Amino acid sequence: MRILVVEDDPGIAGTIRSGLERAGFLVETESEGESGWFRGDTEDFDAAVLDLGLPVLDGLTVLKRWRKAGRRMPVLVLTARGNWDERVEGIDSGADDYMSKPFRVEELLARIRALVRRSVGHPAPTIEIGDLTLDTRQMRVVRAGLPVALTPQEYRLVSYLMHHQDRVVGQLELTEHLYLQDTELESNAIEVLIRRVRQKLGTDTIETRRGFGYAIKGPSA
Amino acid sequence: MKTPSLRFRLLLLSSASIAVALLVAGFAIALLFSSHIERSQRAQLEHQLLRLAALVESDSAMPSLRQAMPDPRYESPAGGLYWQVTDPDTHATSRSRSLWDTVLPYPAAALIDRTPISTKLTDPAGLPLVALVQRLSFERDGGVGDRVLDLVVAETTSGVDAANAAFRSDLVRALALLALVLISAAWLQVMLGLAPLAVIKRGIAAIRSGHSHHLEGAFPKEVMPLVSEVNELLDLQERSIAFARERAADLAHGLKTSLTLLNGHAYSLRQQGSDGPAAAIETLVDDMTATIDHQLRLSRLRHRSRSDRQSTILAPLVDKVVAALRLTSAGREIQWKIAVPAESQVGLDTMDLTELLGVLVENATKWANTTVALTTEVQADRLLLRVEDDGPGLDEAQMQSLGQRGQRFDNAQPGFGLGLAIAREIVSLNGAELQFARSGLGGLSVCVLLPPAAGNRALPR
Repeated sequence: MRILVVEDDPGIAGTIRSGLERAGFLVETESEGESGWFRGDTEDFDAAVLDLGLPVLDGLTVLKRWRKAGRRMPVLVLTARGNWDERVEGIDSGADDYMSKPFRVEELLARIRALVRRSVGHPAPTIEIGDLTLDTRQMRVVRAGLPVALTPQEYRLVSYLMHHQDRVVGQLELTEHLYLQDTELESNAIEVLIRRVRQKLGTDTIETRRGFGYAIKGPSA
Repeated sequence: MKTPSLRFRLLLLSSASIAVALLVAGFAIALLFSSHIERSQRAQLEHQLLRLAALVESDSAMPSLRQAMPDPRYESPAGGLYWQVTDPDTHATSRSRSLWDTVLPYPAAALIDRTPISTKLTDPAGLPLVALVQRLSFERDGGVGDRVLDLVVAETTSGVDAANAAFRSDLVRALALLALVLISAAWLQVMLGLAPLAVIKRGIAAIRSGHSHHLEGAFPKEVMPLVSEVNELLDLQERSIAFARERAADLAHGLKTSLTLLNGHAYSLRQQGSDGPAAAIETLVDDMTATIDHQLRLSRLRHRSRSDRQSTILAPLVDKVVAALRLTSAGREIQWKIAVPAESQVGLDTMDLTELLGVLVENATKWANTTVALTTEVQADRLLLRVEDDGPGLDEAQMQSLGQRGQRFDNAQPGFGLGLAIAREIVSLNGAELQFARSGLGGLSVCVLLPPAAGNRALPR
């Protein structure tokens, strides 16, 4: 899961980044509006945390431009002011949630998790597919009642596929959402990762569609 | 000590000056008139004395007139005009019939040469007379020396007195009329002169009541510097407030950035198992945030002039605020009952109305068990907005003390103190009213009587 954080204060950006990374997210940060807008406009993110008081291009304009261009990723807006007209304007411009500073990192994480889940149609914090359960709060995967030990990267893969249940996800999309932009990757990195996860969860868990990608499918699908 | 008004002082001064000037002028004119008619009477008497001298028969022992004096007043007793001829040696005296049996006691000793002298006497009726007396020598027939005779003509002063009195009476009336005209003119002048001050006073009242931002209109060039100064002061005040607001916002921004970092540290501590210190930091951050938010949000509010007060349509703002609250975990669980007519407008700035709705609806959401209701009701020309919840509500005593600043009733939920303080401030700055009651839903009902939209028939019937 890849999250874009657009925040001009390096301290706050670092706090958000470390919190989100501990929660299993991949985090890309931008410190001003113009570059933040460009990244959000040209790359795929599962959610964005957007500060409203940004240099170069303010947060509301960034948000409006994203929405105008059809970018539908959930956006959590951050503001230093606690007043209602800004909050209403943020929501009106297409924000999915709003937090005023200073916020608690736990609450930010909970809201980001909820936004990501809701954006793919999972309102509850746990996602169950057959005997496989993903607990987004605990960052845990349980198979047939037994917890499975996964590395962060393996967790991200399972989490992404379970969030997009029944959808075939291409290699390129997986690469974008599982690795940071500038990571040097072996050409078969995703295949190796899939193989490792299959060894832990069972070979039938992740289905391969040759030439299209991978999917975790429910019993009925 | 109360300083008398400028208008009163100016009017008093000009009235006093006019009164003194007219009194002096009146006395002078009366004096001139009086001396003029006295001179004229003396001239008449001199003429009469000359005629008397011409008619005197000086040869007889008893001096007599060759013919009667022409004026008929000499013939009627106490007729007002008299003559008398006396031989100072023999005291033989003849006189006009008007003197009856009275002899005019003229000052014979004063007649030292032939010059006529003027004196005051009394007539047979006891009235004052002005008399002209002259000692003349007449040549006797046959050249046996001169005969000396004292000639007296006298006239009552009543004519002169009456003329003086009549003139003074006319003069007083004329001067009174003149005084009236002059004082009216002075009053008009003072009013015209002070009129710009009255315009300034009305202008300042308009600024105070929020109808205007500046002193507006054309002023005389003597007053213009004052008007410019006042307008510059108002601008300066506005700029100072804006500057202070910006500084407050900057300060709040800086503090909140640091507080966010503190919360980040608290998160790290919790991740390392130090829950106690993490909670302590978070509590402190919450308290400091509440204080900053309170002051910052209050500092953004300002007294709105009537021209600032746009008409705002209520329903879309209610929808937006509810949409924002629906995104929160508390708001998602709430059953919303909204009955706000789509076309209802109120005379409140959009920003202020959003803030007011936000704090009231957020509070209702905080306390509600399942339901929050927003309804409106038309009261005279105003719209009453009712925000109700089905939460625990408040008892009478609590509702009464809710009117007091910073009151909070349950520490388990973030207090209504801040929200209420903001709501109360918005309400008082915009001429609205806030009331608390028990809701039919079981919880609290907060009613806001909103000001009517300016110049607009906004309320649906």
